[in-house]
Amino acid sequence: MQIRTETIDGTLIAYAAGRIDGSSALDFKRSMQAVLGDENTVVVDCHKVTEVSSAGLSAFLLIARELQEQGVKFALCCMAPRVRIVFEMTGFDKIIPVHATRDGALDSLRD
Amino acid sequence: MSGEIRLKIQASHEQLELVEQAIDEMAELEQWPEELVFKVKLVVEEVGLNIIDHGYGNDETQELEFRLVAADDSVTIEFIDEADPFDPLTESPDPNIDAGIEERRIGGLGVYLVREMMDEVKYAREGNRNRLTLVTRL
Repeated sequence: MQIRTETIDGTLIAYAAGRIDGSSALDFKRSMQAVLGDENTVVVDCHKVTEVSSAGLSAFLLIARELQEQGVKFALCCMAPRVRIVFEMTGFDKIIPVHATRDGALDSLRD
Repeated sequence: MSGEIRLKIQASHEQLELVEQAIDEMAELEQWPEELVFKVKLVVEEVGLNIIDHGYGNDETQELEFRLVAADDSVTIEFIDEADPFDPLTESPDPNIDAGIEERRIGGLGVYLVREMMDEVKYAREGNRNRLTLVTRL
């Protein structure tokens, strides 16, 4: 899985895309690990994510844990309603902050 | 809305995709609302992978049956497998959705999502078979 990235004011923005489910979750996790650099703040922009299943949630959780261990601040943004509902139903929006907009996510990570 | 899908598949991720393709085809033909397609496919992935990965331990010689009945007021999905008895209603505790990032457990999320998304979930052990019936009302 190719994950496009850019850096805005020192924050890494990773653009996740497609369906993050049982067949792609591992690939997604590895691809995310591959794009993570030295940035202390990371936003995953999910506007192109079409679906997330429990396997996808697990991948997000493992990434969030790794980032937390490294002291990296992490937020998600721009989810389609059907993706957001899966995060909300499972309480994942309480352990990984989810913002409606990319700017909102960027603001939240600033000191 | 009407229609029925009946498929017997081998217990593999590839074969489960055939079920999802069949759902896509019916959804297109019957012009299902997008949210219904999403819900049904998520449930099929969660339940299907549970049976394949955990019930059968990825033994592709095993089989499972899938049935879907679409009616005007509901969609009913049924999975039948011959794995060990597993009642997702009683044997899968709710994940602690208030736990922090360190304490959150990975397992149990799929079954929880299915129970939250469906209006009715029924489990029966019939001889050596598990029958899981899921209904979403429209």
